[in-house]
Amino acid sequence: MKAKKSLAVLLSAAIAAGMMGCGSAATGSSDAGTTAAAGTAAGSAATSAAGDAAQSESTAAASNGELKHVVMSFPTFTGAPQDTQMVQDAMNEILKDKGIEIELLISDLSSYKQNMTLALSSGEQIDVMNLITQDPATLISQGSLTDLEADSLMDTYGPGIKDAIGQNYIDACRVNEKLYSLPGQHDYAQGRGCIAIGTEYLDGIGYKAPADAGEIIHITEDELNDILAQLHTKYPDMELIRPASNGVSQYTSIDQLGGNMFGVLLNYGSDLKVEDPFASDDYKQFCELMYGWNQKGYISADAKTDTTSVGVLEAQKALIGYQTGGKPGSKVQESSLGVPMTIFQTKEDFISSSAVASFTWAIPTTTGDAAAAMTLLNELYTNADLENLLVYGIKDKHYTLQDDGTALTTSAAGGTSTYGTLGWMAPGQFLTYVPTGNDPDLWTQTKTFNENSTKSKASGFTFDGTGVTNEIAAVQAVYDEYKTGLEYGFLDPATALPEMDKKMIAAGLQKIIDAKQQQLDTWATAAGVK
Amino acid sequence: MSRLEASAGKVPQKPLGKRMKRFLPIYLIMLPGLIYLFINNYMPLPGLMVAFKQYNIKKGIYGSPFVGMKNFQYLFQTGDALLITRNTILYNLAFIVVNTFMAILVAIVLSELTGKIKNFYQSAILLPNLISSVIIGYLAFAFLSVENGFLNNTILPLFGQSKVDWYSETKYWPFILIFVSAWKSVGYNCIIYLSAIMGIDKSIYESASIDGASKMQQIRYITLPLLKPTVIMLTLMAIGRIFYSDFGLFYQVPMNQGALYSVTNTIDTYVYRGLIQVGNISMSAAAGVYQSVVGFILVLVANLFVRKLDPDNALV
Repeated sequence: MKAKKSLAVLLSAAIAAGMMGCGSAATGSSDAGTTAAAGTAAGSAATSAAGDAAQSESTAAASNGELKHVVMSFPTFTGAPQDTQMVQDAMNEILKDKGIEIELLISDLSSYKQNMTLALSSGEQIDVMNLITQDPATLISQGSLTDLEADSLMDTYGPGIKDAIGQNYIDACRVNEKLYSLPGQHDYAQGRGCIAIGTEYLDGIGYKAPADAGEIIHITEDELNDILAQLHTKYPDMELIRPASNGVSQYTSIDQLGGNMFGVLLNYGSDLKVEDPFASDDYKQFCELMYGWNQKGYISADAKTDTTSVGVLEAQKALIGYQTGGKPGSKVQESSLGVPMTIFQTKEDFISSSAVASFTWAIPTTTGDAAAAMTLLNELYTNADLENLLVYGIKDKHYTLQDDGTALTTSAAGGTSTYGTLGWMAPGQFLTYVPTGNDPDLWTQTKTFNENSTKSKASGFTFDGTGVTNEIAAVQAVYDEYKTGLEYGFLDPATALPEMDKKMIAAGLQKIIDAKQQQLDTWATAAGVK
Repeated sequence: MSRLEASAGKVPQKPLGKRMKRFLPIYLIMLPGLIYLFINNYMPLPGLMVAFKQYNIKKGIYGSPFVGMKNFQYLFQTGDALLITRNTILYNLAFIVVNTFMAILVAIVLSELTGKIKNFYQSAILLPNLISSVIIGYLAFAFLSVENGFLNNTILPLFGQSKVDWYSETKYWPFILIFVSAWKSVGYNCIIYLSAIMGIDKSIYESASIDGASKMQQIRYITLPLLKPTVIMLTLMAIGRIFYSDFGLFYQVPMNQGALYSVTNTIDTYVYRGLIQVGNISMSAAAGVYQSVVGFILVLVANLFVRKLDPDNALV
């Protein structure tokens, strides 16, 4: 009887809870709204972004009507920083002379795509936006992006942009000869075949870097294997190498056309022939290398299931080295968790076909005034004070300038950060101060790095996969089944590789390759590439 | 049900208005549920047409071009369709049988217990049902990890067995998944059976024990037959969802390992993996329609069987 009673209480409590949930949702009380939003990180960022928007709209209404209101949208990893409004006011002090007034609409990266899709489809005013995580081909086919050169928009209102970026990098962003977006200033190239190894372990085997070696030590594959063998003998109980999920783009000469493996250019994109990578020697050698490492016990048996980041493993002294991408500043970047790392490179520096045209800046067609938007972009590419405000915030509040001319942010100095955005995403990164810890000459080095790297012949080609969505979904399912097994060295490439390729051909890989080849040929003729 | 119909046949029918008036409070109680059902389950129905269209955000659902069955193609593009359908149905059948058996067993044991200890067991057994799949995945990983797992380091050495690479060997996974599913869902299911057992008239047991029936005989001849309608109803509902799989169980617990796809890929995980890359709304909707249609047919078929075997307990 007692049990029956307690059960009844339990059930009625459950019903009551359910009804309360219904009630508050139906009335849409602000309380329910905020708790629901706080439940997910995306939601909370969306509300904070919306809050910012509302706040600055009110300031816009109060201010001088002659200024043109321009909304600039981009993400950070954590959403809008606390002091966004303060920085925005400081930026407006500079922009006043140009007759525009900026509003920063910052979301967090995970919800950025969704927020922008909604904003663009509902016709909300967005004047300048970053295309990170967006699908430019879809946006263009839907007519969401402004042609930046129509009516000589860029020549009239953005005269400084061409010099700031460089004509050939601008051209690499063209889609069907039209320019819809502009790349930021950052490293377009990536050093392929890079391995980061903890310096203390190298000291342990008595390894001495060559005296003339720079930040990245260039060695041959055999020399690397020799070093790894010595490390394994000295530290047999530690995991030696942790492969990366993007191993193909870090450790082969394959150029992933259109950002996927289904139809690629081989040999650093030196030839415009779309190939099946899974039948290529390059991919086979990569899998064999990983399989060899795995057989020798270099790779942990848990590598394929463990998703702990390599930096954390390294700091916990559970791992000796890992695959990475090389660039000027990568030694500092890889050592940022407090474990000094040494970077080795066995392959070339390479600019892939899609590298330049990723996370570019565009003017959506929902802009209030394209001329004002272009004026803002021009300032962002040429005005160092404005750019430093955007990236670092206010001097002596959000960062301090060091004697060598580098900027030490509050968070890097061990404090709590109240402002900071992603420098590598900013349009004119080369105008900003170098983050402390790097060579003060970092931006010049990066420019040289970009200039001297091997460039894919298809640089600037974008692939529209609309006609072959079914095939891509089916082939992707096959790739997912084998990817980790092969690329982390758990499957013998001698048997697994032909097996996977056979399944992929059956799932329609050739149809995707043919579609890519056709689009590439059309693109090459139009762009005059041979 | 049949008794009600029989009695309704004898009494002359009152006019509809009078009957409505008499049951008005009951209709009012039903109203919130009906509104909820209408908003949640019926209003989105026209959205099904997305599955037959090439969806374009700017044009909207109604304005997008009609493409017929093209969105369904990728489901049948490869031999995977057969594999994922087989996995989904066989796993769910196994879950229905094992979980129902376990739930009834636990419910009977709990019903015989009394006092505080019963509440403790009831809460403890319900706990796994409230844990997120991601955490369950890592609990399983604590057992199955190749280098540091409990099984490989503690249990297997006890029996002199060598280490097993759990996340590469397909043969173990049907058992692991069925075990995890039972562990996770038995607490929730047993509450329903427990409440059914609590609803059984106590005087039946009293007279049975006066007639000298043992505990086992009481369970065999009173509890189990009286639980039958609940079992049939819950099983029918489970069969209606036989074409849906517990995404967390099949995606998180095997840690999304490619090597295990042949035994862990179900329609939900297949669609998720395919579409996370492509991001096509129409194709996702097509998979949803396919699941609903097959699920609907399965309920009707199962109900047909029940009506043949035991007409009193069929749903319609």
